Amino acid sequence: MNDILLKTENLTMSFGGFNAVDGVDLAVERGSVHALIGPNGAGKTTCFNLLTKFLSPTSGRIYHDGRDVTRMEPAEMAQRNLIRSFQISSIFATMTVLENVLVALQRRHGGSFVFWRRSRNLRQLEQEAMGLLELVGLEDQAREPACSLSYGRKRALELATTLAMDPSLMLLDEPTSGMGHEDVERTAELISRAAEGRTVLIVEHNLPVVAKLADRITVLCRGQVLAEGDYETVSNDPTVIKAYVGEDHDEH
Amino acid sequence: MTELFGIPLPILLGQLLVGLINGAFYATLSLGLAIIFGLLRIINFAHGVQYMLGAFVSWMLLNYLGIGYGWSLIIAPLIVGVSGLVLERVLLRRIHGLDHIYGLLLTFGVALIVQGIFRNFYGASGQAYAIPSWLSGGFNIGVMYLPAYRVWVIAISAIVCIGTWFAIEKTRLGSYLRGANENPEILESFGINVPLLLTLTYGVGVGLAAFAGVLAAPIYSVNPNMGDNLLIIAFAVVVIGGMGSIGGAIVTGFAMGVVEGLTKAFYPEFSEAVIFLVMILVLMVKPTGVFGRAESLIEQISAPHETVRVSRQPRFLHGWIFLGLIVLLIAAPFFLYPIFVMKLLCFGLFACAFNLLLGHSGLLSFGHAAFYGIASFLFAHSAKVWGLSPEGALIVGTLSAALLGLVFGWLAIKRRGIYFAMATLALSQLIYFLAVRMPFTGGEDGIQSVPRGVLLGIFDLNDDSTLYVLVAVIFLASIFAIYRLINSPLGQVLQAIKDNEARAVSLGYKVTRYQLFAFVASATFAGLAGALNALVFQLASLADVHWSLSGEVILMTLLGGMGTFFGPLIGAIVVLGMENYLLFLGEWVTVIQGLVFVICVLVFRSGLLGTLAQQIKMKL
Repeated sequence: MNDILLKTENLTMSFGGFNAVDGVDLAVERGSVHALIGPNGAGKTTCFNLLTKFLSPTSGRIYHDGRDVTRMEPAEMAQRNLIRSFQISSIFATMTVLENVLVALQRRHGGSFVFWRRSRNLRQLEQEAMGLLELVGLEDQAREPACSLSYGRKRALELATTLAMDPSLMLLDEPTSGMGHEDVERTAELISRAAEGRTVLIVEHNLPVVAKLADRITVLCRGQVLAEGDYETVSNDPTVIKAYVGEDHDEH
Repeated sequence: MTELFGIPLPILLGQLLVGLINGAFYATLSLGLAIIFGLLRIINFAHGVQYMLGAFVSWMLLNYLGIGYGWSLIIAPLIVGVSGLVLERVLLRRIHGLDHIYGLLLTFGVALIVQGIFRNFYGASGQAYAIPSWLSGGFNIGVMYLPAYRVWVIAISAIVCIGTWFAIEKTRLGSYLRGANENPEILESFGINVPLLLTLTYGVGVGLAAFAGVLAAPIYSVNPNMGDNLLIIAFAVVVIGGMGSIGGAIVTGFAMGVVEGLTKAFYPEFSEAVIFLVMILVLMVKPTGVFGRAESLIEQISAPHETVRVSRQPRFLHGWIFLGLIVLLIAAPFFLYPIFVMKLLCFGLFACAFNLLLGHSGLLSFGHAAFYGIASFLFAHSAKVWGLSPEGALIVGTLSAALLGLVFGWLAIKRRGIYFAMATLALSQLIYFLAVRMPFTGGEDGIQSVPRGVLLGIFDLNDDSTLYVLVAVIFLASIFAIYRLINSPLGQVLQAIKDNEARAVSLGYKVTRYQLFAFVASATFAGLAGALNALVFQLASLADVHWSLSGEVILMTLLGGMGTFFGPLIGAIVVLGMENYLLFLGEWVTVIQGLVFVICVLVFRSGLLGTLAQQIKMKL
């Protein structure tokens, strides 16, 4: 079936006998926003690292666009236009905000092995980069060093860098974690706009954000799929409620 | 006489015995390195010196206090181990949590200081330490004579190694250690004093090195340099075995000793190189090491970053600096001895080339002397023996460094972080051994009276001013080329990889390709510097390929400021100036260099120019 963009079969990752991800079958439909939720330690982030090949699964298969990508390198996954973000803000700290986006654009448009020209010649890409910064509201800070941004703004920059790759599949690892209330809404708004014409897989703790964005939700618990469906179905599932009861989902 | 594979059996067994003895030292030292690395994430560069201390302390105990070998076996490792506890508490503690390279550089500085002090008091010649009477003599087992002391060394090291392995893998204390390795926070929450555990672990690792030193005292002469070569071999053993496993370090250590011994029986001329060749083979076939686990990118994601203050890069300022550099180059020979200025230029270029890697790509190579040296030798050989013109010889020298850089880079870049430093050091040591062995290098004499020749058939370089113009022009052009590279689109990618490797990967960059490119470029310019040096001094010598030169270029870069572009030039001037004007201090210069290392790592990580850059809020 071709409208499944990303699929896993019996995906398993064990660390010294403990199965952090335990036989997960996941199918992300093309063009959908698919959320992965679950209490702490459910294996969401491990799952994410497996999908982006930052970890190699102990067993099981991963298919992207119908092709078996289980043994691929992480950079190759990115070159297949599957771009991830990280749970901690992941930026290039010593570079300016603009350069952060430029370095991503450079990968997409080629020319990253050019060593004899000034980097100023990247100006042709600058317009596109500025457009992306405007999208996330960072255009005024374009020339600032990236490390001087506030936490929430760093996450916005990371999103702009991710979007610069024009990914067909975006994997966002807790994009609103650690953000203040205003930034959360702004980011959710941004993601829903960016999701147009794309497929998004998102790990998120903030359930209102999930309710707003996700077309489909998979609930993980102890490394296994507990429930799957739209928000209505999942949030009324007694096993899901039970898994969350008494669970302290840290991020406020 | 009985023969095996054409080698008389007694000789074969004799070399096997020597191999087992060397293997015992390799195993004990790499075991100590592995324990320390496992918990503190520090490559203990002082390990060779601590081994030397073990031997010296037991020599002192005997000669000053009349305490014999038996007590020394216990007392010397205790004394040196306690010095390790102090070192950890006072110095290493302060850089906990910083990038791993700082631990390596700090312990390297400490090693220089200790070694310098001992060289001052005891010279480079050895002190004899007699085999204790109860271990002298031997047994005749028919096919060969077994000296008792050698059997004792093998047996007691094996017992100590296995005992340590048992303590770590099988006891409660060991499980704490392994737990602290995985997750110190959790262990802390169990009420275990993790800082104390770290200190004690370092002490034990150091004590093991000292123990090996005591064992070595009656076999080798007791001298300040006795640990140098052994340490580099221990690094190679660690790269071969992989740091992951304590048992692996022991097994690999003994195995490499035996391999070396057997090579001595069959192909004596290869014996010094064979461990490094095994290392190359392992890097090609199983880069994580025989017992090692794959290093995961996951660790890179959460790698702590030091707070970085970035300033804007005003190009007009850099234009003025380049202009100032030109003015200085014109003026310098009027105030300073031109040959000394040319030496500064060679080392300045070398340091800048090195910083292209360390400062701008985040890779610490501890083997850059190999590129400098091979270019120096091939320049000298092609100018003197082949009769090439100076421009031809410069090209031959530089290209040889580029080629070697490609090979080293391709091998070493498979290993991340700290392993990269060890692998490059071990690879460069292989080149050093080759340089010692190969007839064309002239061994200890080097290649002398290299003709300077006539450039392009027009400019006679025997004239010092003509030579100066050539060196100055090549220097400027190279510095500018490196500057351009760092500020090119490729330079941006390198910077991004240095800032955040995991993110760069997630954007689809195959980081090793870019790092390899930077490595080759850096090696090429380092080679050019080495060839120029040979042109200026009409000499290529073993000092050009020695690891201490690699240490010196690191010092220049660190002191000048590795986050800056122009810093290494300043660093080169200061370090060479120090060597030149403090010549009367003799070995104390090494001690001072070590102190500078320690101070830079502890409180002055931005370096001279980096500090200035922060003050004026501009990139330099």
